[in-house]
Amino acid sequence: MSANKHFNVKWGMAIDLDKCTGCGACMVACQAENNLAPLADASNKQRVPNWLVVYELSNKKSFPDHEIAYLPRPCQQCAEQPCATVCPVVATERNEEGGIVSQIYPRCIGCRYCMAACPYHARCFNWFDPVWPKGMEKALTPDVSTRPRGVVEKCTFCHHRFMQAKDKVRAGGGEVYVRGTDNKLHCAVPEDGYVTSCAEVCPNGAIVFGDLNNPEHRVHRLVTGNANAFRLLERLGTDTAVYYISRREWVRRLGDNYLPDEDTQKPKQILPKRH
Amino acid sequence: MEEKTNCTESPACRQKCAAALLPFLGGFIAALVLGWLVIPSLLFDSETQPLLFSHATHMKKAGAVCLDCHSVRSDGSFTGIPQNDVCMSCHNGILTPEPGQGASPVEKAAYQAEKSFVENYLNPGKPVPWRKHQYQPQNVFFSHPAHFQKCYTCHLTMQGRLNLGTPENPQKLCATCHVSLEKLDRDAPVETNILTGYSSGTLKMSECERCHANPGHFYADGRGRTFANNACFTCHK
Amino acid sequence: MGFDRRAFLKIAAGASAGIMVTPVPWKLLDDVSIWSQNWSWIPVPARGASTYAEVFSKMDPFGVPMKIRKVGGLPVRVLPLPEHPLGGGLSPLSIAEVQMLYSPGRLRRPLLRGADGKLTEISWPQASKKLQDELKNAGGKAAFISGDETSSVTEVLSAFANALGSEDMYLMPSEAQSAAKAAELMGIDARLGYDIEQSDHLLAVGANILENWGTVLRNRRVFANSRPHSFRKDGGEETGDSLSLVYAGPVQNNTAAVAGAWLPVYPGTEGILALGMANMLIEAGKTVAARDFEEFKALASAYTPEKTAELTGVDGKKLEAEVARLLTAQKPLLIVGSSAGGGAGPIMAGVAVNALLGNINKPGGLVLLPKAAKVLKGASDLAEIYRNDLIKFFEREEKPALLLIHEANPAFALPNAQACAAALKAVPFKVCFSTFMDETAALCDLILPLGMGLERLDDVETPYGSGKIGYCISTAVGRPDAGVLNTANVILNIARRLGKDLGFELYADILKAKAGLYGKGGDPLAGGFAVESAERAEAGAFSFRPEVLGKALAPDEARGKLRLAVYGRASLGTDKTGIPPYNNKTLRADELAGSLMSVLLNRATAARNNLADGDKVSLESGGGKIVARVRVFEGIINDTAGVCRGFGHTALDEFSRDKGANVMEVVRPVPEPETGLNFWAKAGVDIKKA
Repeated sequence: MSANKHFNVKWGMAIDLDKCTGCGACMVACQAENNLAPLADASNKQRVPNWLVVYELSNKKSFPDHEIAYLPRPCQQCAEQPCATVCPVVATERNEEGGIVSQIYPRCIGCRYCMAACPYHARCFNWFDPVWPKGMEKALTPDVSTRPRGVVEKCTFCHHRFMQAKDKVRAGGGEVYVRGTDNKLHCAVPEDGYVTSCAEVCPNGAIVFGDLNNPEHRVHRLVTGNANAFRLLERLGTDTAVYYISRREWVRRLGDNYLPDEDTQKPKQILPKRH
Repeated sequence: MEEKTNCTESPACRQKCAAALLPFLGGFIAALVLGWLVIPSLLFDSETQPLLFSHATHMKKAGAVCLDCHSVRSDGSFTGIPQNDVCMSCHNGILTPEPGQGASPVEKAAYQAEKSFVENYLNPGKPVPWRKHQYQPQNVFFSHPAHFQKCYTCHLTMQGRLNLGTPENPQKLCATCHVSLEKLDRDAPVETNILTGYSSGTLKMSECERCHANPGHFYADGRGRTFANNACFTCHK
Repeated sequence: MGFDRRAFLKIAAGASAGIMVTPVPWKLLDDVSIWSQNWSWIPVPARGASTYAEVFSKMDPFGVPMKIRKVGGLPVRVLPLPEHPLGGGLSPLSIAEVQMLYSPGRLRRPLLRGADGKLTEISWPQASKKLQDELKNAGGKAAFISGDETSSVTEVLSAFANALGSEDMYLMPSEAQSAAKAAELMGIDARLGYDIEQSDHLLAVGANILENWGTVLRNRRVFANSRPHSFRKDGGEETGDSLSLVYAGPVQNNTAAVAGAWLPVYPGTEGILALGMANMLIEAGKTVAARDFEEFKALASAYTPEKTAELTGVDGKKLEAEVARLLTAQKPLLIVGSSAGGGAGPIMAGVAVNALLGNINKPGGLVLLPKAAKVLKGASDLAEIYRNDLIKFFEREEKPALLLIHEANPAFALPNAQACAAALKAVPFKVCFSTFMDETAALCDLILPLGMGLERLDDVETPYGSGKIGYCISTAVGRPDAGVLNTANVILNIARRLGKDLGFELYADILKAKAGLYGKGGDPLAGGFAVESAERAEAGAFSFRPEVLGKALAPDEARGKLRLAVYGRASLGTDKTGIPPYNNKTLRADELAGSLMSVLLNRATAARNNLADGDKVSLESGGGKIVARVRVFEGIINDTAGVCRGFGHTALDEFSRDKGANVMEVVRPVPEPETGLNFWAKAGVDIKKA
């Protein structure tokens, strides 16, 4: 159903892969923030619900020319969602100012079409009911609902923090959407007033979060006209809201399935739409 | 097996037919009684409040408005049921005059309730274990500030169509979703659905959709004037 | 007319028709659908107003200030505290602290081991009485181990040990201990600190500064601030960094992943690398006015670039380039370190290089920090306590009558872990103050539940690696019903009853006095915020001590087929905490598969040992043996096996147990020549298919 809707505000990320050390703080913060349950054995990765995963990248060269980089992967919040288009029950959609792809757990029937459709493996399925060790449920946050087994879940850019930030603006008597100096509507939430949990805890400041459409936001300035910025599988035409930045060419090449001699800087040819 | 007869002619036969329908009617009526009167009340557990609290007394006698006790915090969250410190801003002691001999039972009960509140809860600093009439399910994000701000944007200027009161005294806006205050005036028990665990006052999604899914709202003034569209994430978390 | 089958069916039909014109079916349908969304076994988060408290992590040893979000009075989230001098972001361990309040491995009640070897719950007064009696009997034959070098609890324990007439007061081996020993040997009456904020070129040798060395959050913030996000217009130039970072070490670790360059060196040869660099700097004309500079020069001259390259495995050209960068940088800084067990020699060599670079007590250089303040008269200086070597203590034949352990897990953390555990068992009475049922607690006779950092009042004084003196208070924000007490208060109480006057009755008073000494304004016990002082100790006349350095760094034969590089990951927690509940999801499948952890070998090394990716192997050394799976990883130097420490817990909870093996079981400590420390950075292992 969802055609590429245009929104005044488009929340997005720029993740600087030259700053990420792969410590995993973002993954831990994500779980605590979004009430994911811990698992005693988390080594079977196909059964482990994780909204954010840090991958290790390698330049595939042998010692001593080997290089590594780490790539955190949240939901890419596509403007052209492969997932929402296949959902038979409209449990996921991108239909709201800000452009965040929603996921409604009580509506999800657990068919996992969306998981098959997502080219980024950003979605996970609750194969089991979440279990917290006795007492640990007292440390759940009231911001995000707990999910039973049988539903799909994914990163929401800590959407609850967006809701809370908007309410804070309203509580101060302000309007949430105001016209900026460029005469376009922007969100009045200050740039640091709405930040995802992963971006907030990163000690290296590797994750920059903000409104991609707001020229005053750092994330907008970082990705506009930056030849070092790229998105994952850009040629699928998913038009994602997560940009990666690296000065290392080998890292940028891993962002898509390039042929060995292909120039990554060429204007991208978007594959014909199938959805 | 009975013999097949044409009974329209014979009164005895008609009588017999009517008698044959009686069990059906009996079952029908019994089901109606059960379905309308008995079962709905069986579906709910009823709990009384630990104290008699009268909204009417606070609003009519003390002249309070909703926002005096239920307010939005500076971080945008809603306080809901007030904590003792809010009550303490007025109740520094027992405010109700001690009822005399001829006082009505209502007056006596009100005095007793306040006395009990001050002595058992306020002074020891113990929160009152109020039963909650309305609590959104955990997967719902309800924003009070959004509704305070947005509903008035249009409705203040179209009072003829739906009067919501004023932002200073939003009683009518509150009453759009909340249990009417007359009902809360007495010691209204909280009814909890035994299947769902929600109270009878909990709003259903269909109630939200009366406004959220109403095209008049988001198509009213160009698209998205109110930004209160019906996207799932507007209310769900 | 009787009630027959037909009548019954008629009633049923009537009832069915009737019920359909009541709200019941539709209401039930609706209710059931809602009921199916709310299972009783799925917890519903509690609601309430959010409040915030500022604290300093006691669990993460790498300096983590944090803000705790409480909902309805109970802590739910750990948030960063960027305004703090050491703050900005969080470590993967500190984020999990709120959840760990409810860790299944938590201790809640004092436990006493009976004659049958079984543990039974006792009350606090009983436990305190028992401890008092045992301490009284042991007297001067009691020994003490503290695992918290930044806390005043160590001072209390030291004062108490001295009052009892015991000389056995120990801290767990740490980088701070090696650095203290290095400073002492070089005649520096101060603590070593690193002013990375103002440096413009940082060469970290062995020190995983962005993951688990020094004040990690601060290191990482400095790194982040110095490196603007890269922006390149098509065909344009890059934006420049204000700090260039180079990492030298055996494994391409988290620091190497973002460093400008990775200099692979054999494990345990970090000091030789520094010495080789010193030689090249002297050749380039650098000199220091020190008493024994000429002797040092003579020692260093033996480490020619060729020899250094051969001994350390570093590429000769790269070595030259790095020395050239040190020479051209405005404010270069060298940090030599390890995750533990590196010994004092390499740090001494590092100080020598920094002295040659002329950066001691200069902006962006190696800074000398005044010693920690003390308020208990009877307590020893931290530097004195560092002199006592815990490994020697465990190797000693004669055991103490009583061993009291505060927040330490020697049975897991020390090299040759099994021998340590055996030595621990031989002590007649062992007491531990521990938050979790860890490997050491499991061996103790009296186990006393200690509050987590979030549940107790405690302090943090200048974590090692900091460039400034700092003092922070951490206050209790956790659950008041946890049944835990503070070690210091228990000890102060017992001391008073044994007639030993330590000068204070309450730990809070000690912290107040200390806060006063550090000039903390406002409420002395307010949590979170720190006092910071840029006070520097005098550089004074120090000496290089080449006679010590030469022996301490002397290359020796590898003890095994392969060199062993032990590295760490912050998300695996510490020896005391084990893996926090959420953190084992951060381990990649190539780090841990089921209960089998990985050993890193590069392709050439694997081929030389006839091993392939995925092979199950055993690593053996000195009677110890661990099992792992080969991961062919090109980011490790030749002839070296890389093993992550922090796996292989046998106690604690299900989030830490049965995951990999404890590498410390194959690590054998050796005495570092001349320095009096034990070290284990040069360990080696034999590897074979299992």
